[in-house]
Amino acid sequence: MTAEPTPSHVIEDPGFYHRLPAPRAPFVRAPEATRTIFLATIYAACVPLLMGTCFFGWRAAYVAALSVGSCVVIEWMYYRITRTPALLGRTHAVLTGLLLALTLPPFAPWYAVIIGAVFAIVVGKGIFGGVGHFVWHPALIGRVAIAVMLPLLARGPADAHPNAWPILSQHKVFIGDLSRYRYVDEFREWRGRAAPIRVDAFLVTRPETTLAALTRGKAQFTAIARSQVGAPHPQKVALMDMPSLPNALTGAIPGAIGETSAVLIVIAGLYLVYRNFVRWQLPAAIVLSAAITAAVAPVQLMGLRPYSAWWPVVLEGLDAGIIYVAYQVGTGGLMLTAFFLATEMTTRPATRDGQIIFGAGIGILAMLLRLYTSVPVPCFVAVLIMNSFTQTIDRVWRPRVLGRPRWPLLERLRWR
Amino acid sequence: MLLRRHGDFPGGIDLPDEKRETIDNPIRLCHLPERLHVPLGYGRHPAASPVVRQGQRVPAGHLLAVGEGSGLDIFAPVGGVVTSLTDTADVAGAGEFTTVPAIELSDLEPAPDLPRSDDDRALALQPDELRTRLMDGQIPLFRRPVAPLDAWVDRAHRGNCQLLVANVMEDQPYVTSAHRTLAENGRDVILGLALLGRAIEVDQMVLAVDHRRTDAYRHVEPVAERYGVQLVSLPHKYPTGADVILLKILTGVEAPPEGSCLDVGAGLVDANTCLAVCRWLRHGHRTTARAVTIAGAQIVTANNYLVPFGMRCSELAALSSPSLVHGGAMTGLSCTPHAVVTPATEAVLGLGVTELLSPRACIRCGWCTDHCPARLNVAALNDAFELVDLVSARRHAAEACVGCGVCGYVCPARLPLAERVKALRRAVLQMAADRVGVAPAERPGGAAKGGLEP
Repeated sequence: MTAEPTPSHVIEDPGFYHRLPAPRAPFVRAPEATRTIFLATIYAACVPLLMGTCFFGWRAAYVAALSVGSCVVIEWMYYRITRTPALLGRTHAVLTGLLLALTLPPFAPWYAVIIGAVFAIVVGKGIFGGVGHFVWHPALIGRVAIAVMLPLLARGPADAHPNAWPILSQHKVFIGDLSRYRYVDEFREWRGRAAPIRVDAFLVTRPETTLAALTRGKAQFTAIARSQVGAPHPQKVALMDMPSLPNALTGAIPGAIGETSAVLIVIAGLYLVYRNFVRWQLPAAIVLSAAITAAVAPVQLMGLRPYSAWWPVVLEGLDAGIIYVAYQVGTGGLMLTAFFLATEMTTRPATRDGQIIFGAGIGILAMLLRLYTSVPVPCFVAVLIMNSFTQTIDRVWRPRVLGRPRWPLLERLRWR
Repeated sequence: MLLRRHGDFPGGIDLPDEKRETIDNPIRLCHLPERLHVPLGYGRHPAASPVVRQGQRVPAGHLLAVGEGSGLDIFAPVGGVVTSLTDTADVAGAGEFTTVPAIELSDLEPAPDLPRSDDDRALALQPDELRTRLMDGQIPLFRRPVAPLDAWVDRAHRGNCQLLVANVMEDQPYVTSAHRTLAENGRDVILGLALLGRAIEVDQMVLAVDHRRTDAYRHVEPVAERYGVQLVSLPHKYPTGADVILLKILTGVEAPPEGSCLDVGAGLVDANTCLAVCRWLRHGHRTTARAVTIAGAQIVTANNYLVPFGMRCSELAALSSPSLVHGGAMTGLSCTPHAVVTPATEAVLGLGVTELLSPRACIRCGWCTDHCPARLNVAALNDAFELVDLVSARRHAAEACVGCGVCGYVCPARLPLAERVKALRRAVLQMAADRVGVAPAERPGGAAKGGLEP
């Protein structure tokens, strides 16, 4: 009896299957995956988007949908062409698009959104190699590209009032059309103010513009004229020209889609802190350093002696000073930066102390850029500048390794 | 139980415990398999040469092979007939299984119960007499990598070791064998620790246990007091049970990254080694079996079993080998078909992890660095691994890795970080050894740090 020849396609070696790569320790894994992190950040970022939709109507939702959709499509096309492996996941493209939308004005035209998406995906993410490899925050790359290429976007929809941006009136939230606006000169309180018929939105001077004019002495303030009537301190009255502080913190102020409601941004950010996806020290460092910088940085006021310094908190007393600092911190996208943009994992330092340095740098830089330069998006530029130093911070500021001296080079230099 | 405030360590993580199904059950005798494949060597040491012939019937405890050089003598765990002298078995060495020759025994019969004596004459022996008796005992260290205990004791004695710690932290999920050993043989473990301490001539002996399990150890308190063993309960943050971390918590001393705890005058052993020492010195029994935890989602009969060395892991767990884990869930190895139970096998787990999780790109979340007990910049080390940059790995002190596997546990990108850092650690140590011209195995302290592989 002869043995039948084995067909060549039968694997004779029973050990064949065991030589497949075996799983390696650890055999238990924490449940969080990168997708979990991105999804949680998306859920949290939907809260500012919801507030943006509330105050800016369906146009904000349209900008967000366009941004997310174009980011996903552009990333898919870029992947089809280059086959960059880290571009395979769609979750991060959605997150990038959402964050880009949060930084855009609600009346942004469609081409501005697409330009931002192209720059965010291709320049911000693709050419570095995709998720986990970029140096600067992709959404902010897109936002800064828009600010550079379309500088007129910062001027608002009405040519007659370049510094005024629209906000829906109280009875038109969520459903109103932002393009049916009317300019209002004095906008102190959003609640209880009805718009005329066939008008959905008020065109209001942005708080950043008011603050910039206040701190640079460039604009003729109504406050100055009013101060001659009876108020002893013209600066305090100048602050009276802003939307009220409760309005500014809850979000009833004109601005970009995501930067309206400081309170809700903080709540959504605290959710990320609770999930351990953000260390609380980083936003705290940004807000604190920005507040301190705003409190101590000298600014100039029109109507006083030329180039005379004015330290708000010290010279004007705590009441005016603290309100001034709260306006500086609570408006203009600083909260969005602190909780959603600076905390992007790839572009921030890894260690706690590194993140505190990083956050302090962002807060100081953002405030200095806002006070002394005319950069259109100072907070975002500050994040991009500090992103460049992330690798340096991680390299210089690292914890002491077990059984090693903190500074091995110094130990080697020491005389013995 | 003495509740003393001790130091802490940065990093670490609270792991899920998963010990409920085995922690309260007493250790049972395992069923005898058809055949036993008794390995003749452990890892780096040369295999012992057999002194039995094929077809010979040997009783339990019979000498099977004589160790070459510093190797251990091999004894029959159970009685049986020598079927084959040329079989192979895989023993868990440093980071992977190594194939060693083995003796196959069949027609097995269980080892008889040996009489026990209750005298304390061994404690009256002088330290040098104890060391001589330990050399006769041919006891292995019951942790990876398996090595002769007498050589370890000699090294500790010559290195002026002042502290001896029995490490019963057992902080990995599922594993309860050391806990059951201490709970059921507490008196013998304490006595073995005291005898070891006397042989090494240490000043201080400590038994470190998990603070959640102190109720099970109440009965050893008077024994420990009598023999001068200090009882310490520590929090259960993983990896408190890693030797260098435990030493740092207890004394504040950090072992050098290239060395082991013996270099800073502290010896760390486990409960099973102490038990084997006590059995040998008091009763004259050789230990050829150990308690092994069988647990996991795929295991039906989860318990702690007393398993003779040389039993195939797949037979023990009644599962096919690729889905089995040899050792703890954090630091173990995937079983090969020939993997057998050795003195270092604390558990055989069927966790149901058969396929590789596909890794994604690192997003620099920094969790690996946050939780690393050695404070390594694991993300930078991962870059060094991907770029094959040993200079960068050395600058980031890859040799300080304690091998706990926390980085791989927390990694949301599912990167095999623990494996990569371990590979870098081996490479960096090899590079340093090449520079001074000594093989890493022969350098003092070149051996793995405690139960975790290098």
